[in-house]
Amino acid sequence: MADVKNFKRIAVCNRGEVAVRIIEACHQLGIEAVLLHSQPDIGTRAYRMADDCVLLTGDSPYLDIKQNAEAAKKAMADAVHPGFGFLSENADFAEAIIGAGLSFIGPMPDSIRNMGDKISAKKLMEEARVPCIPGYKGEDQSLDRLKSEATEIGFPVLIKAAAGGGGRGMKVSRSKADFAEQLDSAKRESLAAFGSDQVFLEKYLENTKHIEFQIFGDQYGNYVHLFERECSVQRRHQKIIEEAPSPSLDEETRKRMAEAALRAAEKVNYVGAGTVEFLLAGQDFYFLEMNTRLQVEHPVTEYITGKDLVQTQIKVAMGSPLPFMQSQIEKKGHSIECRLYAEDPYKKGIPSTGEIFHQKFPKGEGRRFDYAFDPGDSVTSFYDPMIGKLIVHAEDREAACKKMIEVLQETEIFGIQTNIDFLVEIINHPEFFTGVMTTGFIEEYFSNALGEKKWSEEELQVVEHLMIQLANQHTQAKEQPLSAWQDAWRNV
Amino acid sequence: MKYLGIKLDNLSTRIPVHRHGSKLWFHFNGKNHCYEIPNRASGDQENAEAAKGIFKASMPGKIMKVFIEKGQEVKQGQVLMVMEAMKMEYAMEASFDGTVVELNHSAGDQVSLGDLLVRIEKQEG
Repeated sequence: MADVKNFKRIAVCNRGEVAVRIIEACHQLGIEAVLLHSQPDIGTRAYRMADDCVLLTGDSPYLDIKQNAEAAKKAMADAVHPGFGFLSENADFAEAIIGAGLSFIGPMPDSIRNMGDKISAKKLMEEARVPCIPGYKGEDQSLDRLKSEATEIGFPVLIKAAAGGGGRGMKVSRSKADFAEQLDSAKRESLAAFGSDQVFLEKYLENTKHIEFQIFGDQYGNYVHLFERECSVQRRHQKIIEEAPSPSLDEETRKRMAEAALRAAEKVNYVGAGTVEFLLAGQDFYFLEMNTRLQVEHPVTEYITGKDLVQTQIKVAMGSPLPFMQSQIEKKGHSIECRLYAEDPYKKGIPSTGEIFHQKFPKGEGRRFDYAFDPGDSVTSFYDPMIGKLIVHAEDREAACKKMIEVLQETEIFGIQTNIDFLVEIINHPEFFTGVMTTGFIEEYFSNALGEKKWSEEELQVVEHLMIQLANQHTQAKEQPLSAWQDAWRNV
Repeated sequence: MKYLGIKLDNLSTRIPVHRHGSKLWFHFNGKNHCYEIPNRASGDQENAEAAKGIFKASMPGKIMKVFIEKGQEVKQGQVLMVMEAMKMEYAMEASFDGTVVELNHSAGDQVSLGDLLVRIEKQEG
């Protein structure tokens, strides 16, 4: 058994609400947290909560491997927590941290590397008998070969440019009859866009759901799963609402997916918290990718299992064995998370920046708020617009949906526009409420977010009331009236 | 945070309010709202419209009294109509001598924000 180290000080190489989450977990374990932060992030909760702060410099300080590794060492940290995003899935960063004599709170660099490369990941998963999306990536590009491979995969088949990205050179062939035509079209587009007409084939999955399994490994070869999360509500591959458990899995499929996720973890000798993502079509599932880090949506798993994932990450990185066995992990109730974005849903979701004047979260039983800013702080345009997460836990899904609606409607934020009204509309949508939504949900029903804001008569009456009161207060203070048109109004 | 009381037809409540520059932030009926307060420029625009003889509803409300008829001649300063929105009355006065060329509402009508109420044209000569 390897030695168990006792971390006294952890460097947090991240920002925003996840930095807050890590600092809190450190404090709960009696560990000091040092925040390595950028200049604009001085005005954030993480900066105020950390025991120590180190200012990073340069244009992209959170992506600077050398600077972060050196700063963590200089700050006398025993370990580094990378959070999610930024350097969290960068094998070179993990190596630099280990090379500097610190512990990396995450998997070994090789695990990150193997899972980071899509082709090697798929190969490893096939070896581990984890179902992958059937496909063909061979050198033989003759029509006969491609057509026979497509038939083998089963129609509909997606034809993708090998060099491609962003949907260009991508065509769907629905049958053998239209295959040659779609292939020609994909090759032409691919050649024009990428200078190569080599293609890959893949089974085209329709009406899929995004289901992921939370797994955990320790340094002694123990692996557990903490059930699944469903994250089908996405916009441009960015998740908006996540929940656990999934409303779409039957128990038999849940068991098969859990086993596949554990085989995936074992295959890459995974240590720490990881997530195996799958696409679910009916009750068939296919490996998508593995995220070798903490996930944004980890709180829903914490709620249904009662386990603290961040504390567990730290303990496992110290060399402790997993603090729970599979038989000690049970799921209870239903949890939903909404990501709070600083954006205007009435203007197609454009980011909103500025000072937060007022912010009040409706705290209570089964309600959790992970957030980055306090009133007086400013949301800047330097980073991702996610400013926090609202999480609820209730006895079943319907109760959780209702609780989330309450939380959303009671959350007060002035100074920046947020997606709260959008989230309410999504949860109230029949497809979400009944749990049948797929990854195409947002595009199908909310491609324009909420459209232009329309003021109701009642809301305008409230505006009028407020304007009059404010104007009166101004007048009493012997100041200028609020606006020119106020002068013509008088009380009856 | 400042809280202000509001009384609507069947609702009396206190809501959090924050004014910053031309923006009025408030939380009402489960939503955060940001109302852009018409500034002097748009007040000027309203005045400019009135100077051209165009009167529009600056709030949703109800027409209380109409003192004119279409085709009638009016004098500068003459009250044309009275509108009410939430227990507030607003009298529209002719900005010049002229003729009523458009009149779209009568007493008792509900009007929406921006509805054209009256248009008067200057008398020739």
